[in-house]
Amino acid sequence: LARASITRLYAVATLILGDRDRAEDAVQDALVLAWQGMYALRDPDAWEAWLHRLTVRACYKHAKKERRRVSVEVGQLPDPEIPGGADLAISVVERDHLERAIGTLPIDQRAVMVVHYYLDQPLSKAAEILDIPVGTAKSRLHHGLTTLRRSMRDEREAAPRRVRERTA
Amino acid sequence: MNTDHDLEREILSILTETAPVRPPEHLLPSVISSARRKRRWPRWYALVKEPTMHSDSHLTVGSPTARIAAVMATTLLLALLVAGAGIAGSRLLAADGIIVVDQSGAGTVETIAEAVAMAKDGDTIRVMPGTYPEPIAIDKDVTIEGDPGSERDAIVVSFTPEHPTATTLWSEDLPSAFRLLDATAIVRHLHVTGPDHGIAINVSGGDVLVEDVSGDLEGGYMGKGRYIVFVQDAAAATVEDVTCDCSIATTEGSTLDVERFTQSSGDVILNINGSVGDVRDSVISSLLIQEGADASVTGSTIKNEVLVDPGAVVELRDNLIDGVDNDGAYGIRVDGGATTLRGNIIRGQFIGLDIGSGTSPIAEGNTFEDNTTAINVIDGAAAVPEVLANITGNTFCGNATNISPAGDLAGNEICDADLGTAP
Repeated sequence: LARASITRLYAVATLILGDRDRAEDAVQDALVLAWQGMYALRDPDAWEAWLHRLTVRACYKHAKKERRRVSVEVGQLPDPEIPGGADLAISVVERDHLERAIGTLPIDQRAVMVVHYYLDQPLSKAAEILDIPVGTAKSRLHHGLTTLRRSMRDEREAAPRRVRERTA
Repeated sequence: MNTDHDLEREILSILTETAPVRPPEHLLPSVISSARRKRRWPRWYALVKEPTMHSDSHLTVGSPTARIAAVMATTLLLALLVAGAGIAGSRLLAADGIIVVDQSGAGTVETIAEAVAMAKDGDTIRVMPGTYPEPIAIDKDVTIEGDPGSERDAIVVSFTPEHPTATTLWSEDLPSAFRLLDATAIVRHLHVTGPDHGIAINVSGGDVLVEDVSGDLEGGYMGKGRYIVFVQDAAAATVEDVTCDCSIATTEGSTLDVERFTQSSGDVILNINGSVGDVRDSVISSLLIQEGADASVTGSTIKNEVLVDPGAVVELRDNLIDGVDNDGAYGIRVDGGATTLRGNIIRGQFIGLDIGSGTSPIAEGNTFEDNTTAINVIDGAAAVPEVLANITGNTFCGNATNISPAGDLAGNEICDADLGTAP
């Protein structure tokens, strides 16, 4: 059972935590908890969703531990080198920026995105997996998307300026 | 990126590309090692420990009411266990509907037979990797499946001549790995190995699906004596995605539905006295359709021959009957019955279609190519006109002889006249 699920759980944990080492710890905790409690699961069809819930919970736990240990956020990475023409460069920069923006979202919002988009779960199911009301899931997703849109707009306004400065 | 939809698509793309393709190799062993060091929670503890569930949730293990009930039930259960409930007790402790069989001791039980004994109708018996050398008799409506996360061939069920036997069409008493007795059951995702002569899955009555199973069986002549699936006693069997150098056989009154069966040698036998057999999208060595059978074969490749016995009703449609590996023998031999051939390619045979005495198959839209003799009529020249009345719209190309004895193939397309004389 663990072998069947471990790849997906590890991917989910890595996306939520943004750190492979902590993702390993979270997946290990989740699978051991699943092993301990599997006989009590009421509905075998809910096995996958239950594993996802345990993994998300383990991610929260490890994220909290990490916050206690490290108080300094990782700084923004330098802008990548820009290959090719200006149009392509902006697209690459935008994408890179979006990726980094996802990484800086609060873990609650990132978790909703991972479950909703990556695991392709409707928000009602995502809420169940995240153990939160559906309204809260919608609200977290909304805030996350708003943050990303705002971040992208800022980047779009700043990018041509940077390109002009580099090509000047 | 102008719309919300674009943004969402881009997020999904980034998540998909950023996600690691596989976990580090040490992670799974590390999980297993950690699990072995921990005790599994008893049910009552899991019920109390899990957080409160939502009213419509199925992910946690109980609402407050359910928890109280579960704790009381568990107490009673423990009392029963203490009183020596034995296997029944351990059954109640198992996960609802799933019994895990694992030789390492990490599952519910360590043998398939134990799992079958404790299973109830509707349960799934999930077999973890390992070799299970045990006779398995199933008279319940259960699913036996290899662990979906493991390679099929890593889950091996083996049997020996000492296993219980069943009598086949040819009065052989053969041992079997699985005996399904009037069960509505599924056998899925595993590999069966057996001795010289034997039956991997013996279906006796009931309705069975055999899916994603491979076999490593030995012995027999042309597949007789080694069967991946043997269907008898008015059973219904569906066989899908099965690979084996061996046979599938049905007996009187049974129904067989085969899809994507890959067979390197031996016979697929759709048989006998009233059996219904449908074969689709398969790679078959030989096909023997016997008296009383009602069979169709579609979209398949047949590497040796198709033999239709008197009294069988057969439709062959859109198949490739290829003599490349056939060493110059027959493509289709029709010894009687009612045979219809449509859209098939019959090529490279010594005789493409051999028409037996007193029979006249319908052949429409087929291609006969590169055969020594495309069509041979056993009853001789006098029978040729009657036979040809049913042979229309076919294409004859590159055959040494298109029809023997010679006849008028009007209504068919002839690429070239006879290239030579039939031996």
